[in-house]
Amino acid sequence: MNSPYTLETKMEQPKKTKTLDLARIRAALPGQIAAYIFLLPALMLYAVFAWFPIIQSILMSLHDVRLGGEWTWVGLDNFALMLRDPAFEDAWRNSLEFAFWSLALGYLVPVIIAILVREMRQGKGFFRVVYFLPTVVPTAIAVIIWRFIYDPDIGILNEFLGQFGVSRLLWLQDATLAKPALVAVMTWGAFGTTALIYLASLQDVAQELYEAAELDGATPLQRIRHISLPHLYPVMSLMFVLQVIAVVQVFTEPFLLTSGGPGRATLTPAMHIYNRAFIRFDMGYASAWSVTMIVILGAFSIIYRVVNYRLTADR
Amino acid sequence: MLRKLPLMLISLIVVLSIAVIPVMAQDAAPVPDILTLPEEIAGGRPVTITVSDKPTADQPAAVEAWNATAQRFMDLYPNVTIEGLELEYDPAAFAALIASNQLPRLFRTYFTEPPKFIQQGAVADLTQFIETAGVGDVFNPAILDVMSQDGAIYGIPRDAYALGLAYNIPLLEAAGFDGPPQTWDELAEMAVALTDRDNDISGFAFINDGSGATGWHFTNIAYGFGATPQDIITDNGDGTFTASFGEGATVDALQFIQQLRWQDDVLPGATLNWGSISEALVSGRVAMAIYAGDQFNYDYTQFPDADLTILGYAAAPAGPDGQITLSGGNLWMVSNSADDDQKEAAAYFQLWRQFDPVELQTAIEVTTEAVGMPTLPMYVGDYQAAWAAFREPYNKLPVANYAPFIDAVTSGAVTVQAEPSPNVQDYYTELGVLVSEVLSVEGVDVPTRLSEVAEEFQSFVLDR
Amino acid sequence: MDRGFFSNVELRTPKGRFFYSLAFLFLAVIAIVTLFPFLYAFTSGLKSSTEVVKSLNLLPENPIWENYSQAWTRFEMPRMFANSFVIVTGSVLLRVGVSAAAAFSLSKLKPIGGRFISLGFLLTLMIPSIAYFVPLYTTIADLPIIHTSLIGSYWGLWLPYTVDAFSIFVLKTFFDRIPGDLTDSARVDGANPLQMLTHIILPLSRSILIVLCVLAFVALWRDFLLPYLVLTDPATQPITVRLFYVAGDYSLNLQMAASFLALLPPLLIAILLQRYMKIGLTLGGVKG
Repeated sequence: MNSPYTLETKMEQPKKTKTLDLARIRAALPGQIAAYIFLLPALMLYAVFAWFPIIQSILMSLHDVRLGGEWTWVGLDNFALMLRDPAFEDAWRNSLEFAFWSLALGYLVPVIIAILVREMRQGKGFFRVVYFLPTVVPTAIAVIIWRFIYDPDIGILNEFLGQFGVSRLLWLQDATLAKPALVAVMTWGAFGTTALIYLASLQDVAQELYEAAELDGATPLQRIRHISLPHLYPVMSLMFVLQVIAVVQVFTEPFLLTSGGPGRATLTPAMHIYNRAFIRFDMGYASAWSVTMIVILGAFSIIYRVVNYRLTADR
Repeated sequence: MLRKLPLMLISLIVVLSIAVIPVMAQDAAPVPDILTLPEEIAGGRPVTITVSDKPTADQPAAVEAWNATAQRFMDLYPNVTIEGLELEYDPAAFAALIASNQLPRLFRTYFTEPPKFIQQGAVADLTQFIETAGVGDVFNPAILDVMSQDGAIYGIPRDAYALGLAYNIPLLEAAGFDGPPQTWDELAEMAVALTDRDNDISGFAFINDGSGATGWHFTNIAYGFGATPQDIITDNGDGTFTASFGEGATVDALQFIQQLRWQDDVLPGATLNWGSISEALVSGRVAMAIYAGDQFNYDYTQFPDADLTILGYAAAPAGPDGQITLSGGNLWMVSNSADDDQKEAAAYFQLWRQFDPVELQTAIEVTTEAVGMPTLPMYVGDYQAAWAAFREPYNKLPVANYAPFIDAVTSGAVTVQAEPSPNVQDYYTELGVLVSEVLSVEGVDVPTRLSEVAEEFQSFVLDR
Repeated sequence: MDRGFFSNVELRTPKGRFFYSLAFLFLAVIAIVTLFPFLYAFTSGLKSSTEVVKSLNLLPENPIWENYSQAWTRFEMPRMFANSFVIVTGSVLLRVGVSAAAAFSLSKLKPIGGRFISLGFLLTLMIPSIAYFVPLYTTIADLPIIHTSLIGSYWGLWLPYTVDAFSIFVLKTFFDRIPGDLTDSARVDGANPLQMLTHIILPLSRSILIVLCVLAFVALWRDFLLPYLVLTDPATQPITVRLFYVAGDYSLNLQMAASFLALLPPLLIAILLQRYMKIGLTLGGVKG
């Protein structure tokens, strides 16, 4: 990711000394206080409406929870049970596959769209809004539409493919096709917002950079590679992590379109949590799954940071 | 002459009354009043209860009627205050309400829910109120079973329906059939004749989306092949249970489904859930389907422009034990976090709404529900007969089309069988997954897979 | 002169024109694909109920325009829209405001333990919200320490809705791109952090702030479960909750019409605000 084109000058970071210098601390104090004042609203709100409930949830995983208020300590029993659950393997394997499909089908699409829309001289506003529409369409309607598209007998997808001689495919009923089919729905619903964010980032690129590159004789492709992409890198990196985290927690599409089927082919951990928590009222057990999810996603985030750091260490 | 006038007048009045009363009785046919209400509730102390399922503001007639009902009860018992909430049952929402003590004192839920509410200790024991009110013997015991545990009754049934076979009358007639199938083999034959892929018509369908509803529909088919609850989950008598569905009638039923799908090809390609199976029937894409009796209400409200006279309803085809069906329905329960006064008020309010003749009259006049759905009798004996007769003039559905079902139920030809227990919802879920697998992968070894699932079920659910 | 990686001159060359048309075509096709469901949603409201489930035809056989007027009056849409607006606008402003302040602190003010706090924010993304929904609700019903209930009040929605670590991280990423030179020179000039935020950071981040506002608006407009439980008084309920209650009693086409009407406000907001998503970092920024 070495690029000769950048507006930023790298500042030298002063070496941090470990000596306890009272004067330095006193000097830094007002800055720190200010920093925490700005953080305070977020900290308070998250503490009450996020961290407190989440910690309760984690504690529930170690208990047998009665909704009326009785909690009985069971230690790691819920976790042991979870490992014996026939759905455990399927749900997590599905998560991995969903993540793979989601990245394959949906990671680059918003980037490409953002870059292309950036280029458009006319209709930019139109494109910005149009790609945004899927997020606005109510879920109930989206479900009906996608059911129709994927219907093996009267669906338009099969009709369209039938013209090329492709025989009737069972999109949502076939174990191998169901996942990519669902990922297509998820991508449809999400690419617009990601593209908008990339677009906002691209708009920050100084036009002089492109001019300079053009003067240097760089081809358009090289200009994208050396200016647009490096500029997008931090956002793309963030979106990568967020996308994986979001896909692993997907609930709505498999719940509404396939109910986890066929068999357990599209069962996701979030669906299983919903099932155990609200259909079975077994909150303790459901919380064990939640804790597992936090651990797995936490591990992923850490691994990603390490890998990312190594990859960009020689920038 | 003048002195005879009063006599003539009286005779006229008497004659007219005699002539008119039978006519009035034909319209009203009131339900007998069998309710014994207590003199006072909660010893006269002020008590307030919250009640769910109040009609929403866009139906002013219904709201007015609801308010009037509440007012009448409050007039009967001036110390009672009733607050209506428009809240309707939703699993996630109600879990949160229980946890934060916000559950309405009187709320409605489905037949599938009582076990988990009872197990969580979230609902109150209503036996004493039902007995005192004198209606304990009037309820259909098979239905009361659903909401009872260890002899205590935890709910008041609101409506009950069975799983039967809905069919498209014109399609059947066009194919040369004069009635619904009587046996499962007949069903398979008819389905083959009725399937027309070019016109996108499937001969037979049931809920096959892989959820618990799939397991539920499938279990009805398994019952039709002769399975009994004990065949599925056996009570060993010593507090333990064995999953026995790995062999016997359940295997036959699953193989039958497999045959329907892969050899006969009569099932629709799409997965159907509760809503889409109605859509498929109403739009003529499916000729016959396993169908719950109350789904006609859904058809009636969601598709007012559909011609519902094309649909008939019969009991499920007979197996070796005859025609068997599972039941479903709605019931009212009382929150256990209510205090005793509130429990009393809530229980009597519902019992009064349900059994007071005046209340029944007003209710049926304002309801937007499709009166006339082919449901299961909630009561037994004379009371049931009187109740059914009372509702008849208000039918909104082509009840004649449901004759095969109604006759089978009233003549006792159809047996309502209990669900396997315990952990029936878990069982339905596991079976639902397996059925979905059998329908999507060709050549599944049914006996082996069923045994595997039975083993999993045993170790993961029953032995917990 | 606005340009992308292609200059205007280049675009006039045959190669440039070819590329441009190709790109435009590609974007247009995708646009049609995304427009289709939207149009379908609109025309479903005009069909008869059986028509809605029969096929995916775009055009209804006999458009029933009354469905829309009926949906509008029967479901009391104007009032519900007002409720939704109040709930969502308040939440969006709070959310973006709180997130911007936090992102600013993490990005520019570098508090000690900032990494740790970031992890805490990240934690909220790593657990599906339904997993801690019940404890969240009990918290709203009975706030810790002060023991008041927010049930029935709009605060029971405004406050929990500010939790969205996605906004914090996106804003932090964008704030990080603002050159240190700008903030340093401001500090040298004696600006305090608040002035730095309001006079430098926020104006430069206008596009992403607007984007986040629109995204939050749309997402919160559609939220159902929390408003369903927190607002029991029908007069205060937003449109999603209202439709859940009333729509089930009516025919399918009426439900479609109502759902379509319900999606119009977020769409309008997106259309209105999209032109503000243009201004970038280099507006009067640092050169060279």
